Amino acid sequence: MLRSQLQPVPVVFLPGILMPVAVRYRALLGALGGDARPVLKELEVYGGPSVPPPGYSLKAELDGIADAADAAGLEAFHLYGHSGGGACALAFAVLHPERVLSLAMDEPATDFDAEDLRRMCEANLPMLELLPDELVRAFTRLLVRSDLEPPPPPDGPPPPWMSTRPPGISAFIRALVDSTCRSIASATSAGPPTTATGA
Amino acid sequence: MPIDRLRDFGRPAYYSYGSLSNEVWERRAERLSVLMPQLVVERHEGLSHLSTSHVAQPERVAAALRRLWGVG
Repeated sequence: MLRSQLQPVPVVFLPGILMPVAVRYRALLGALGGDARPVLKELEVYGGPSVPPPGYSLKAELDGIADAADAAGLEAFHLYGHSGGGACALAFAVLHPERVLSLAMDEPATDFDAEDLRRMCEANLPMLELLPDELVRAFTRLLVRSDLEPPPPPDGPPPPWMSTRPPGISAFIRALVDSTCRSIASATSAGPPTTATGA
Repeated sequence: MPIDRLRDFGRPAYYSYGSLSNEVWERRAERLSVLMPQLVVERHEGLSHLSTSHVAQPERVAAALRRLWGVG
């Protein structure tokens, strides 16, 4: 059967914590042509009256994926997520495998391994006390190899959505690691400091 | 998160990361490959989280996704 005769496959796309989903996947959707029937799902952390919305949690992100698929009439679907959205895609596949036809992740914010979450606590939580601009710089630093410096930010004014990113980054990281960090805080020793991780 | 349940996730799975990204992403790929032996891992040379694969090399990622989805 020719590709043109195939039905496009249903795919829920999840962005990372920085870029809106339509911007994040513009190039990929162009490359996919008509092969995907995309559902572009923003992260729930940016979906309420405030950033974060009241009661925000990882569960809210996972419920949001299910709701977006339901609204698109999809019982089962392919799932693709980048960074924060990759971690949400992974968690959704763990808890709702019957709805996931395939799982694709690009650099997920965590794999929910206990050691990975512990390192996130140590590397990320002190960063969340920084001022917004400093937080974004520190966060960006954690995304590249430890012996490299990140490139400078693009010239010109930041896009309008950038102002919501510092509180979004903080809320998302806390949603991923809060329970792990509370466990560490209650332990008698937390182990040595470690190098960076990302979200 | 009961991540060990991924051992029972038999569906196709794909993971990409850049060679210039933080080293954590290679370690995550290694761990997830243990839980999901079917996981296809692609390393993109010269790319990082700040210039990631689906932005810098969308045609390559689209081809990988078509294989994952069984189309094309």
